[in-house]
Formats: sequence, structure tokens, C-alpha cells
Amino acid sequence: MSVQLPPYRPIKHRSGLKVMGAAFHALLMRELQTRFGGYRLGYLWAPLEVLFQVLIFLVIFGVIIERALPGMNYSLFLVAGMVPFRMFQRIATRALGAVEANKGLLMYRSIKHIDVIIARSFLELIIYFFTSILLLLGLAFFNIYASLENLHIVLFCWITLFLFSFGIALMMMVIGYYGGEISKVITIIFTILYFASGIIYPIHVVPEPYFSYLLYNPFIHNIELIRHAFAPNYPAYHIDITYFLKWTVAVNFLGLLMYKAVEKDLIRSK
Amino acid sequence: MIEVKNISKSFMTKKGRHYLFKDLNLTIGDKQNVGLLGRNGAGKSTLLRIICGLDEPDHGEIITDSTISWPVGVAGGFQGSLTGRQNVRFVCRLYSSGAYIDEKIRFVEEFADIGNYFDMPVKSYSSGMKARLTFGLSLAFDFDYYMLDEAGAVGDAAFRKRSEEILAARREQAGFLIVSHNIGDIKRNCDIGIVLMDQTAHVFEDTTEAIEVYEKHIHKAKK
Repeated sequence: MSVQLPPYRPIKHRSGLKVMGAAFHALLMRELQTRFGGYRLGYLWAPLEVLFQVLIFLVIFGVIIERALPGMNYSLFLVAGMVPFRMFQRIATRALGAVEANKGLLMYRSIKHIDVIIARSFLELIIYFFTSILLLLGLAFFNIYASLENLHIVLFCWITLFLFSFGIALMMMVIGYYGGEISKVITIIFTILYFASGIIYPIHVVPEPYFSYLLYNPFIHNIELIRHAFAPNYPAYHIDITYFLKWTVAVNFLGLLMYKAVEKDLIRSK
Repeated sequence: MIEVKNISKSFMTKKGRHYLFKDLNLTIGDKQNVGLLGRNGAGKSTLLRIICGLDEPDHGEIITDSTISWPVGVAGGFQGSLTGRQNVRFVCRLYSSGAYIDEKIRFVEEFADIGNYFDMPVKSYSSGMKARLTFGLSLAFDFDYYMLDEAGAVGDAAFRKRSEEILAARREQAGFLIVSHNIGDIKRNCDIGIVLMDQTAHVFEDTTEAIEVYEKHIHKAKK
């Protein structure tokens, strides 16, 4: 039995953006299929993981913090802050080992490192955004309602946080490749960041001058704004979202710069 | 046309820098079949990877407006938990579009001929099945050049015959760069021979001459 070649259709010269678009689409579909098939619970792992953490902190701090928390239910407070932060953490830490992990994929020349980072980050955005919706629905079931008046602000915060994470991911990819042991230190830094971003406690309980110090952390501004949007009674006097946006621009600029500087070196065998 | 211009490539070893080649220049014309010869470690595969765009030289550049395949038959980029079909579709999405994807997949399925395994996770494949799939996948797309790195000697007699047929059909439309230790293979299929030695490339318009030089070179090295 002889096999016939399909009709001759030479590969066309495409513009860079088209190649990138094809790579993004192909990688996204591949990631989707891999995650679906990998575990029996597939995508449910992300909501379950966050749910578990929320429950733990509810049990440990629930009663105490409920009294210190102005204008917001503690479980809503946790869900509103933890899910976006988890997304950031996941995007950033996965990028640390990306160069080594993607070696096989890069065999196809139309895929660049940045394409893989874009596709994976985008998938995390989708997964965690749905996680957020799912958990909010769960809260509504227990009569804890988030205000839906300011959904556009929530969306805005999510998208800017995603862009921020993407810039960080690019930097992490470069650092992870050249840094060696630095990547271990970075994982620790993320844990510190987790506690310094007011994810599990309202930062208002922190006294001055430390309260002002905390406000240097860009995450706080984004996450507090999400909370304020969900619960309008939650105070917003300390939030400066332009500060976060400046960080986003700076981080993306630096990330792209670092990536562009070493792009060729990343595939060079030594 | 592929123009290789002033390419140098070196590796750092404990004893200092080891140069594979210095200021190497080459031109490969359209639809030419080029055989690449050289001892183990002479840098044949590295040169191939540089031309494919998978490795970066220390300096120098590759100038081309042709489409070049990835190293044919090199297994990589397969996601073990996905089925053969899903993996093939992934590559099709990169290099083909819309309606043509299905005919590419059909070709790979028929060519690899691994039956039901095509719809099973790749990690359950034997190495032979994986090789058949990668080989078929590499040949499904209409590149201007194909890079063959010790490829072709996989599978049973029927598969090998099928490979030869497809390769012959491909030779009519495209150029080939072949790395092989099989002298007969190169003698049969190539118009031009290139011998990689003394950190540079020697180009011979006649393959028999290239093979002679190459054989003299390896025997000299033995002494």
C-alpha cells in the first residue's frame, strides 16, 4: 500500500504577527487539552485549592478578623484577594523553569519563548477568573453577596494584574535561566509577598508608620480596589491605582527588555 | 537559497574553548540535495540545528527566504499525555491552516500506520511507533528544505519503502540537507557533498569525491 502526499501547498510567508497568532492558538489548545486530560478533576483543582486555603484561614482567623474588618465579610475579603494573587503567583513561578521545560517545544521554529509565556499566562487568567466566579457564586449560596455595581472596576483590576504578572513572568524566565539558585530565593520572596500584600488580613490593622510602608507594595492597591468594588463600604482612602499602573508599565518594559536582550542566547547551546 | 555566512561556533570545555568551525561559508541552491559528512563531533548536527534556527552561532548569520523544516525525525515537543492525533494537530496549527489541517492529519495517520495507537497517549508508544509518527509529521508539510539528521532507518521493510517513496516525491519539490554515516545513502541521493573537517567546510560538486576525501580523513585520524 503506498501513501499519497497531500496536495502541494507550500508554506506561505506570513507576517510575524500571524505566525505569533498561530503559535498562541496552537499552544493554548494544547495546554487546554493537557490540563483536561491530566487529572481526573482537571480544572477543578484551581478552585479547590483556593477554596481549601480560604477555609483554613476562615477557621483560624475568622472570628478575630471579622471584628477588625471594616465594611466587608471576611470570606468575601479572602476570595476577592486570594484568587487574583494566586494567579499572579502561579504565572510568575511557572515562568522560572520555562526555558528548560520548553526545550522540546522550541523545536518548531515558529514558537518563541514569549509565545509559551503568553499562552500559559493567558490560560491561568482564564482558569483563575472562572475560579473567582465559581467561589463568588458559592458565597452567594451562603447569602454572602458581592456588590456587582462596579464589575468594570473588577475586570480592569484583573486585566492590569494579568499584564503585571506577564511582565514579571518574562523577568522570571530570564532570571530562572541564568540565576541558578536565585530561583529558590525568589520562591521565598513570593511567600513573603503573600503576607505583605494583605491577602489574609486587612492592612488597616497595621499601625503607622508600617501601614505607609505596606503601601509601597503595588499589589495592595490592585487587590484593595477589587475589594472596594465588591463591597462599596470597604474603605478606599489609601488606594492609588495609578501607582499600580506605573508599576505595570515599568515591569513590562523591563521584562520585555530583558527578554529581548537574551532572546538569542536562550537557544544557544554552550 | 540558503546562505551560510561567516559562521563560527564554539563550546566551552574545561581545557578552554573548542571550535567546531570558524568562519564557515556555504551556499545551498534551490532543490539541491546536499550530503553532510564528517566525523562524530565534527559539528554536523550543530550546523544543521543552526540552519534550522534552533541554535545560535557565536557570530555570523544564515540568510534565506526559504522555509526550512525542523530536523526531520527528531522526536521532541510531543506532549506525552496527549494522543498522537492531538500532537499532530498541534503542529498543523502552527504550520498550516483551516481546511488543510485535516488532509495533513490524514496523511500522517496513513503514513505512520500505527492503527488505534494514533488516538492513544503518546507516552504509551514504543520508540518505533514514536519514530514513525515524528517522521510522518516532518514530511507532511511542504517546506522548501528538509533537514535530515540520521533519519530514515526506522521501522519495518514496508515502512522503509513508504519513506523512500515519499522522500523521492519530496525531492522533486524541495532541497535536502542530509547528515548520514551511511555512505551509500549519500551516494544515491545527493548532488553535492560537504565534508566538515579542520573547523571548516569543504564543498565538492561531486559526491564521490567528497566521500573519498572524507574516508581519507577518518583513516588519517585513526593513525
